[in-house]
Amino acid sequence: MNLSQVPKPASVGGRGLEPGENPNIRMALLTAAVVVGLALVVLLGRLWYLQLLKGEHFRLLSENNRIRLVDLAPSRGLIFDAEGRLLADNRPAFTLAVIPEDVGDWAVLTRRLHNLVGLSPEEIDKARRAAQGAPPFKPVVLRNHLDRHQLALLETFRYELPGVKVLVRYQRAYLAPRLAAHVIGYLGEINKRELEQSNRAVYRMGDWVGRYGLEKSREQVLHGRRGARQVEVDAMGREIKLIKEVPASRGADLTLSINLNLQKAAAKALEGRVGAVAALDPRTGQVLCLYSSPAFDPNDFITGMSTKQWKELSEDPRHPLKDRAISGMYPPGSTYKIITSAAGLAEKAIDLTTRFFCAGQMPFGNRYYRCWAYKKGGHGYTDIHKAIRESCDVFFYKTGLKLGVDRLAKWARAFGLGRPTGISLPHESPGLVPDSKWKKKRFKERWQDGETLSLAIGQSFTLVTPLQMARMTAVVANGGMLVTPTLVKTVTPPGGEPVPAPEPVKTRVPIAPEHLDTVAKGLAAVVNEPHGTARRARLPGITVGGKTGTAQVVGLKFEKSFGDEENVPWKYRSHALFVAYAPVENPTIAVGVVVEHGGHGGSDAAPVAAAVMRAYFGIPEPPPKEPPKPKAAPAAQPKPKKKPARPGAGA
Amino acid sequence: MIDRRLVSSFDWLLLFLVLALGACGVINLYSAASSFTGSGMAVYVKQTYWLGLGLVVMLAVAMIGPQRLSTIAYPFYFLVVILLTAVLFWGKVIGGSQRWLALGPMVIQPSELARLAVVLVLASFFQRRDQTEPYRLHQLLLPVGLALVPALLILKEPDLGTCLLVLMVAASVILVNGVKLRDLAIAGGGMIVALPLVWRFMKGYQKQRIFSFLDPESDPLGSAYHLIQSKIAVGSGQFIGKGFLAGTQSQLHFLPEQHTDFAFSVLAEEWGFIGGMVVLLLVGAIVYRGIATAYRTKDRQSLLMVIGGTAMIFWPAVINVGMVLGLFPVVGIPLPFVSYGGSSLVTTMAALGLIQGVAMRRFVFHRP
Repeated sequence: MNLSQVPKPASVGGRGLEPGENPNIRMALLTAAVVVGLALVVLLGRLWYLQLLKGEHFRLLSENNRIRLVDLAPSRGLIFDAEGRLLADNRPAFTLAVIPEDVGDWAVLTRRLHNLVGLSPEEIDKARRAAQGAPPFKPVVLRNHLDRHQLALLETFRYELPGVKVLVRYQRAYLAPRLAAHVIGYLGEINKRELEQSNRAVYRMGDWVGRYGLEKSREQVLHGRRGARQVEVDAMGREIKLIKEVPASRGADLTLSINLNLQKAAAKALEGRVGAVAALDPRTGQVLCLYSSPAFDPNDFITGMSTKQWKELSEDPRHPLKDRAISGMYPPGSTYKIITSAAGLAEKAIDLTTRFFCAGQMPFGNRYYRCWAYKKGGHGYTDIHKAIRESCDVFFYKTGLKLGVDRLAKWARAFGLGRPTGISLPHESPGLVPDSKWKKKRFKERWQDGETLSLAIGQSFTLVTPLQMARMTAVVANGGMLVTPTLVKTVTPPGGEPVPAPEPVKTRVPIAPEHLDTVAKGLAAVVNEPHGTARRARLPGITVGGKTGTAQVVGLKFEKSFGDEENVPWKYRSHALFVAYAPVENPTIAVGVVVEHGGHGGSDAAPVAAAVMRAYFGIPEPPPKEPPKPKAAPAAQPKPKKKPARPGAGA
Repeated sequence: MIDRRLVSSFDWLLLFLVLALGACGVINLYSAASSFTGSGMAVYVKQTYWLGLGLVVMLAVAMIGPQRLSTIAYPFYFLVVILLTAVLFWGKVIGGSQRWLALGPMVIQPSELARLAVVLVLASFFQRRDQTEPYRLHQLLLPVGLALVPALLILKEPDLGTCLLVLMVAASVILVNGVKLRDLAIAGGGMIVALPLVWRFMKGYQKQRIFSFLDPESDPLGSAYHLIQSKIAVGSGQFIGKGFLAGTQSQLHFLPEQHTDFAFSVLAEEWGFIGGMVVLLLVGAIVYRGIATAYRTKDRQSLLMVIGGTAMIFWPAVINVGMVLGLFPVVGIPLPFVSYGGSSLVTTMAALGLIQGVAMRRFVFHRP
């Protein structure tokens, strides 16, 4: 670059003029300069106005800044059961707080509070330190859950306690605590990370948010909108004038499809045992009952737990916090034969005329695969109807072999297994539907045909949740629709009319109605015909269809090594499963039951389903007259509840 | 390597103005954030480091110069668009909006880079379509689109303030670049006609958001309360202020975000009209320096880069001070050099680098 090349204006800008020479651009720049000048004048003028013309006024305001912003927390939406019973309410709770800048002498206040409500100086110091950096007019909470006595004392000595405030907060209260703990869930105080990630207009420090169950998944609807008041306060910090108020608007109320009667029946039937029940309306997918045993008391999370209480709860070997109905994964056992039957018929591996001979066992590869009726010498010639009714393993081994693992997996998925059902609850498990690709990926091994045999009777790698079992049964009950389970029937906005929840998604399972009908007839026979495995699920006046299942937890040989069934340790006993629907003519309820290490589906799980269906149809309970039952789960607290025994076992 | 003329043409006055304003900012932050007992480095120290880093960025951008910046304009623009998209998926959520992206140990705010990218890409775009007569509407569709893409991505975060800034900077560049008056009138009229239509298609909650933006009084929780406290702070400063570290409004935390968005109210409270005026005049001087540089540019891309850089300082300053003084609705936009914030400071310094880069070369001939 050299000086001789210093600009020759017109030659530089290509086709255009050099900007500085272009009259349009000159004009634009001039305009810009004027705009900037105007802006500066306006801003300086405003500064002049605020600081010089109005300065005196604002100086006065700032010297005794009396305008406070008081938060109005919204009250949380209520939760009702299907028949309008209140499940989650808000009850007043009193909190002792202090407004730091109004206190004056902390030493005096500390002494007085110690005398009145027994607050130690350390507690007060700790609370103050925690609130450091917060504006001095924001209340600092010193103690939650004041009792009536403390409340009265504080009110009496109110004038000697400058800065002290008793805040009324509405606190969540669960009215059917152990009956719907997992479904409704509980709240927890918002933590720092959540606070940072949330909208400041909605959440503030000290707010409670859903942590589990519907409280968590429907947090947005339930929470409500915060309000506020601008108030003027006197030197003691008491409000003397309300300047402006925007009331908080409460959260919307939820009415669930869950019915408390059914929850009660489930809780009673599962008392002292570990297991879960899921029941839904096969026509809509509305969940009627979702119960997991053992349960816990969600109120403990609201009022606060001692370390010991929490330790007991979280270290209980029965995991009461786990919602087994949606996140417990179990081998489906013989309930899976519903899938094998449907798949066999749909894929034309079998038809109504297919008859397989069951000799009590079946040779395959270099071993024998037994039928559960091995001791009785097998089922003889068996068609699909008899096979379902009597849960003949050999029939389904052969059907499974004809189908192969991947076609079985396809139909398991079509019936909703292997993925979350989409119920609006946190922590739902997907279950597992194995296929040859999965095996290769997971174990780097080829799928063996022998495994297909186990798969066909529900004993392989397949895992299902009780809710998935109920949903799978609903497909048979409603003529081929895979429903999405929903819990909320209506949402009622504050002061508004109930709004029905959006229609849940249904998908058609690609199976011919006559094939489903065959399966349905088989399921009805399980309960109602002689030799059926679930006669314990019969209800007076209502025809029930169902399928039992017994899922081995350990190998048969190992289980037998304990000798008599009664001697098998609890944790090695098989899970008892049962699925059912009723009435078979026009089904309105589909149920899935798992009793962990319960023994047998027919004897141990079927009565649980029957109890829930009784409650649903309003049939009174039969008088208990049988002798006590020995099988009870080892309770954390040694309080084994005796259950009436149900003699007679099925598969 | 460095041409002596580059050094001699360096705009030392502009540098001095910037340093003076930066110093005002640091001193003010010492007070504004003094009552925070947070851990780690004090805010004013951090701001000093950012200022140092900003100067390096400014010099680097200036040394690179408009020519080479123009060649990387498009790649840089697309990188920023990718980052803005990534933010929507993997960004860190703070205060209900998703603006930050973690790249290894570093956390960046891509929306800050967007203004720079839009200025560069527009300068490069119009340089290639240089013409003497004002631009017609159809010629502007593409550049407007180039500005809208990042602006809409930022709006989605949501960060309305930064979105508006991108649009205002882009509009400044496009308007100075020249638009046929008749076309400008048509575009303006079109927008006015389109507004009710857009309004009709908006959902309830979106309308609500607009309402509370236009009328903060409807939200006494947040903005209106903040505004009252900010006005009290500024007004009570009177002519000479309450004195350094003596602002009651700020020291007692009546002010929200007092070291970022409301830093100017702390300054006006403690230094009074004098202090506020000095800061405004410094900002004004920097902006006029930019416009003066624009007058002497020799090619279109230099002109537009200078205008863009100047707009990047002018608009946030006007909006921030206007907001703090209760003239505009509350939007979270920092005041350049005065508010605390690394990304904002470095971006502003890069904008100055654009101006300096052109000013340095005013006696050097180069092929556009």
